[in-house]
Amino acid sequence: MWEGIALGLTTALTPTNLLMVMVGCFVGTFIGMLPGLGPISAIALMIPITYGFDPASGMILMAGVYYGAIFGGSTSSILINAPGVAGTVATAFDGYPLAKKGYPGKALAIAAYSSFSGGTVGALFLLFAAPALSQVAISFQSADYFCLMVLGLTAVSAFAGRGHFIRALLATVLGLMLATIGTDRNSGVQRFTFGNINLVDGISFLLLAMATFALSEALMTVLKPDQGSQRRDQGRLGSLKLSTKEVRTIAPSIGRSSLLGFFVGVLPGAGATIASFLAYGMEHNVANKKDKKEFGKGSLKGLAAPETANNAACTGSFVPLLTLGIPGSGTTAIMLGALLSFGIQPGPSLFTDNPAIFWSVILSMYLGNLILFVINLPLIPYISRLLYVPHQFLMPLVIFFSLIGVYLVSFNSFDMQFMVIIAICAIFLRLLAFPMAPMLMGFILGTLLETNLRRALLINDGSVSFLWERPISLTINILTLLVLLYPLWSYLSDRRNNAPLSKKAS
Amino acid sequence: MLNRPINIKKTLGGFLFLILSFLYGWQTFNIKVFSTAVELFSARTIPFALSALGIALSILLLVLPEEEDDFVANFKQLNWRAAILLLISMSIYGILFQYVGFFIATFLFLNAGFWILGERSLPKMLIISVSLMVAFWVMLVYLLDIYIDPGLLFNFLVPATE
Repeated sequence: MWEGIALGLTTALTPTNLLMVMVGCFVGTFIGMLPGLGPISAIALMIPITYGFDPASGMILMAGVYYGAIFGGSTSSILINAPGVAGTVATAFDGYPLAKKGYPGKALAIAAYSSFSGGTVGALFLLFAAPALSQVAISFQSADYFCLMVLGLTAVSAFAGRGHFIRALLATVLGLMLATIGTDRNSGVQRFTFGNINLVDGISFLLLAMATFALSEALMTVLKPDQGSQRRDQGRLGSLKLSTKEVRTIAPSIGRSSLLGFFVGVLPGAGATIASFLAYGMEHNVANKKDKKEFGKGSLKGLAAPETANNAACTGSFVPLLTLGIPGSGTTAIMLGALLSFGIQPGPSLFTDNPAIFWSVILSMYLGNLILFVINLPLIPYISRLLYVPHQFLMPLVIFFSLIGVYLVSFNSFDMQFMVIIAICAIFLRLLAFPMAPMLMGFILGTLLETNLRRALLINDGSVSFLWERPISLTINILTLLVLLYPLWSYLSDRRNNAPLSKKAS
Repeated sequence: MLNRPINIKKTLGGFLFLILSFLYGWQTFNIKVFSTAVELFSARTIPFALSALGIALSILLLVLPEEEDDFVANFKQLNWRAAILLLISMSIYGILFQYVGFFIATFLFLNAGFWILGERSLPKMLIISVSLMVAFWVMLVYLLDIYIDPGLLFNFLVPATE
C-alpha cells in the first residue's frame, strides 16, 4: 500500500497535475456557485477538455471540480440563500441566517474549515478503505456485479426524494432503455437506430449528461426566473477569522459529521445531499436545549455539520466507484463515464492495473481540499462577485459551453440538434417531477448490467439460481429488497399516522 | 373516489411512460435475432424486460394515490417565451456552425441569447461576446491544441499563408 501511496504522490504532485487540481477547484467553485448548476453539470462541462489529457490528469481535474462545485454551492447558499448544489441545501439553513446577522465572512470561514476537515477525514478513510475493499471485490463474479448494479440503481431511486420512488425507478428504466440504442456489443445487431447512422454507436454519455443536466438546468433557470435571480446587495464579507470558543463549539460536530458523512457517501445512492441532511438532523438531536433554539437562526453547529458531512460523503462516494466500478451517485456515474471514455474500466483491477490513477485520484482529493482551503478561502471575497454577474449574461454562456463541449468531442453538428431534443424532453420530465440522476446512472450502467447478466446466465446454463446461490449475490439481493420495501413501509406508516388525524378532523 | 382531483403531473408522467414503454416494446420486435441458434440471451432479452418493467411501473404510478398538485398554475407561470426562443437559437446555432464556422455562429448565438434574456445594452453585449469567443478560441487552438474551424468569414478576412 505504501508503494501505491508513493506512486500516487509522485503522480499527483507533478506540476501538471497540481495545476489540474488548482484549476479544477477554481472552475468547480465558479460553476457550483451558479444557482441551478451542480457538480454533475460542472464535471460534464469539463469532460471535453480532459479528452486531450492522460487519464490520471483528467480524473484529478474532475475530482477537483467536484470538490470545488460543492464548495461553490456552499458560498451561494450562505450569501444569497440559493444553493447551487443539492448537497448544500442544508448549509443554507443556518449559513444564510448567520450571514444575515452580519457575519457572512464567519459563515464562509466555518464552511471552509468544516469542508476541509470533512474532506480530510474522508480522504484518510478512503486511503485505507479503498484498497481493502478492492481485495474483497476481487472475489466478485459477474452475478455479484449484476446484483450490485441493481442495488445501486434501486438505491439511487429510493433516495431520490419522498414520493418520487416510482418516478425515479421509471427514470432509471428510461436510462437503461437509452443505453440499448446502438449496436449490441455482444451480437453486433443494431437496436433502435431506425437506420440513422448517427445512432449506430449509441448515444454519447457526454451528450446525454450535458443535455439533461447542464443544458436543461440552465433552461430551467430561464423558465423559472425567480430560481436564479435571487440577489443580495453586494456588501462586505467581514472578518473570516474564528475565535477559539467558536472553534471549540464546532469541533465535536465536525468530528461526528465527518464519520457519518463518509459512511453515508459509501452507500450506493445516498451521497452528499442525504449525508448533509442526516448530519444536520443528528446535530439538532444531540444539541442541548439552548443550542437547539439556535438551529435555523444562524447556529454554528448547524452550519458546520452539513458542510462537513457533504464533503466527507463526496470522498466516500469514490469508494464504490474506484473499487467496484459501480457509481454510488449521479456525480460518480458521470466520472465512471469519463473513465470508460479514457479506456479505463474501474473496479478491483484498477488497483493493480492502473495504480497511478487509483492512488493519484485518492491523493488528489486531499490536495483538492487543501487547495480549496488555502487558496479559495482567501479569494472568496473576489470569487463571490460572480454571484452578482447578471443572469442574462451567464445563462447563454453556460448553454454555449454545453453545446460547444459536445461538438468538440464528436465534431458532428447533428449532436447539437440531438442535444436540443434531449434537453426539451429533460425539461418536461423535470417539470413532471422525474429526477434526472437515476436516468443518467441507468444509462451509464446499462451496458455493464447487460454484459454481466449475459455472462452470469451463460455460466449458470441459463438458470437464474445465481441470484440466491452465491452468498454475496444473496446478501446484495436482500439489501435490494429492503431498499425496495423501505418506501412501501414509509408510505404505510405515514398512512397509519395520518389516519387518526383525519378521523379527528372528520 | 370520482371527486378526487386528478394529479396532472402523475397522470401525464404515467401515461407518457406507458406509451413510451409500449412503443419501445413494439420496436423490440424489429431487433434481429439469429434464428439458426437457440439464443439463451439475445439482443432482444434486455429490451423486452425493460419494456415490461416500464409498463408495470407506469401502471403503478398511475394507480397509486398522490396528493393534488398545482401543475397547471405553475406551468402557466413559466417563462416559456424565453426558453423556446433560446431552444430555437440553439438549433439555429447548430445549423449555422457547419456553414459559417465558429466565430459568426457563436457571435450570433451569444448576442441572441443575451437579447432574449433581456439585455439591451449593445456595447456590453458586443464586448462580452467578442472577448469571450476570442479567448475561448485561442484557448482551444493554442493551449489545448484542438482545431476548430473559425469559419468562412474569418478565412476570407485572414487567408491561410500557405
